[in-house]
Amino acid sequence: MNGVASPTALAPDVPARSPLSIERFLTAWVEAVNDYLERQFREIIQQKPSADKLSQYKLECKWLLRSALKLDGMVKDPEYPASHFGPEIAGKLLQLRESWESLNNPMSEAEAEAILQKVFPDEPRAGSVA
Amino acid sequence: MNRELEALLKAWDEFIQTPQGSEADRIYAVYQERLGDEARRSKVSKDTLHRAVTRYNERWLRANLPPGFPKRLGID
Repeated sequence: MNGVASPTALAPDVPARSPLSIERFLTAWVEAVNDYLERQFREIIQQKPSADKLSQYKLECKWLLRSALKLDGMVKDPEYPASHFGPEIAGKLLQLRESWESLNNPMSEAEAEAILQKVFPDEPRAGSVA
Repeated sequence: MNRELEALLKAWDEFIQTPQGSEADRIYAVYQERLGDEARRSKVSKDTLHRAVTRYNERWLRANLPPGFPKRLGID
């Protein structure tokens, strides 16, 4: 089952002098974020989570998001040796922001209905508003 | 149901059922393009429309289950 995560892979044109430890660290970080996004999709979006589980995910998301912000700033440093990770880290930052938004401001079914009615007017929806 | 809305729901459903990889990326790109087109046309933000589609997806799935299939799906 897919989540909102995208595949992780090192860029094909990794510079030879890019330190291996930095490559490994960033690869592991991207994989950790993908793992979080997949779990969040499976356990929060596809199910009705308990308050405790929701709270755990909010905590996890908050710190992944903070780490993403720091890393995003770091890879933009022109001297950073693994700057080819920049686009992937920026992508993870966007996905984590979206995750944070969905955890903290979930849309109700009635709100979703109203938006879809605005975008696709005069069309009967499946079922009725809960 | 509106054809454009149904196409959007089908694209999202196909994406979440496709194992991670290049095929999932391709489907996600199709979904994003459709989403962007509808968002521009209706002047609703892409993010808001995406959240509405993913929220509505549960009900759409239930409504399209074959006769006799349990309707709860573990997501109620």
